[in-house]
Amino acid sequence: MILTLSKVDKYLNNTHVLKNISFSLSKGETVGLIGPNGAGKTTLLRILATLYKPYNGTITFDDRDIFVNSTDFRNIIGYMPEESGFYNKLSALENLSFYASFFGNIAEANILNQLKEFDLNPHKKVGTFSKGMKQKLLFIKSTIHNPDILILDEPFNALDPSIRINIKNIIKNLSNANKIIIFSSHILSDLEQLCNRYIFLKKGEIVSDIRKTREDNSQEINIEELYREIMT
Amino acid sequence: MKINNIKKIFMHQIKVNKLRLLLSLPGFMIVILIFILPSIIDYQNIQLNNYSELLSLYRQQNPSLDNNNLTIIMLTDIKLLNYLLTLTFIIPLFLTIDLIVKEKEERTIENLFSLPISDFEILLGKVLVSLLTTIILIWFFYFSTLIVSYYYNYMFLISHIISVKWLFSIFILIPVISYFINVVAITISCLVNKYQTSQFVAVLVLSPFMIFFVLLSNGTLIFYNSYLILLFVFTLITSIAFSKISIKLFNREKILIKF
Repeated sequence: MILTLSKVDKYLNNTHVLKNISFSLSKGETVGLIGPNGAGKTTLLRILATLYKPYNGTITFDDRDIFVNSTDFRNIIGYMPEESGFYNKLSALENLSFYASFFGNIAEANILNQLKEFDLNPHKKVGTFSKGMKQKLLFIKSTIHNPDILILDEPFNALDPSIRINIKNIIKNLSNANKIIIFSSHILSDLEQLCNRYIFLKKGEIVSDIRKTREDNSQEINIEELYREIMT
Repeated sequence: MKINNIKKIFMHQIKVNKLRLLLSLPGFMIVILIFILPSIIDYQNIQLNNYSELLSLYRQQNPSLDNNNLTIIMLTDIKLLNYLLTLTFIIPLFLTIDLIVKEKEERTIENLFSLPISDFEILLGKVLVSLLTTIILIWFFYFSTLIVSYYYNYMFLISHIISVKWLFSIFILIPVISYFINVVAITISCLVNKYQTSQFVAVLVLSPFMIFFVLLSNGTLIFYNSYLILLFVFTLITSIAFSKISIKLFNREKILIKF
């Protein structure tokens, strides 16, 4: 299970947003995308979610171009956008049931369990939810179908500490289950705890790609220091 | 193209937009009685320009009818058929804009696009909601008119309503107009992000048609059968052009970049 990006370029509104991006992700890798605002993190995640097409370059999953049959590829990915709404007039259960219906037979009991785990009332209208509750719902939405690849754009925004711990544990479990996880976050301590690889983006270019080795696991990498070194 | 995906989008929109309420019959019976009865029975209160000219035109087509029945037939065409055609322009325009622009405004569209479903399936699911709602409503109005006419024993009116002109209008022209408005609405929805702006643009697009129908319904413009044919040809040709434009514009990347 390998996701490979090769020489990916992307222009948005005549701006060169991503420049010659190449890397591969293997199963079990949890990758943190790090960079300042405007570095191209969201664009890169949207390309991986097949929402955008690259201007140049190829992206393959197990040697198959993900854009040749992007609808099928979306079956195996879970995508959590940075900011996204739900159908406010529908309940949490109705919202999730709608999204889950596209991923085969996901039992309602499974959806209810997930909602319970995150302490969300399944029958309450989403319009009455706080921003943090909607963020939790968004996370459940992206993982409900047990995807092979998880793409998360700022997943810890607006979450209280206990829920952050909860989500981190789920991400760790998914990583242990050999899923490919790639996510962006401005909270460097979260990345430090979860990732075994860091990709630093600056002005649309990869400026550093660091893998945690076994030795690194025993002695923590100071990501803040690295960020300062690489970005300045 | 997976029919099941289109069906899921279709059913979801019916639920989100509460269209079951719109299609509930008791409410519509009231609307029908309000709009149809005055047109058919209380025609003395209706002011019409070019009345005598219109009457002579209808007398040529129906020489055996007296002035009273002739006036009822004429008013059924001018008021009711016009009213149904006007509705065919208004309902799908605002409904389709609502189905697409609301997704953008409430930021639900990114979640929708991340699902394993193609742009065309999403589009078709939405268009079918708008198209079928309009057609069902108009056909319901039409059959109710037949029932009301039968109730009042206006057999001459029934024979007029089942004439080629009416059958063509209800079963061919109205679905084509509805489709035409749908593709225009998709085009507007793809170009505009704010619901209010899209409604303003929709009103601008509708204006020439509405002026045409107002002039027809007060008798200023004489309702010739050829107008229906012209309307059919115009909407059919422009539908084909707008279909291509709307499919091209309803592209996940283009929509997400814009908003």
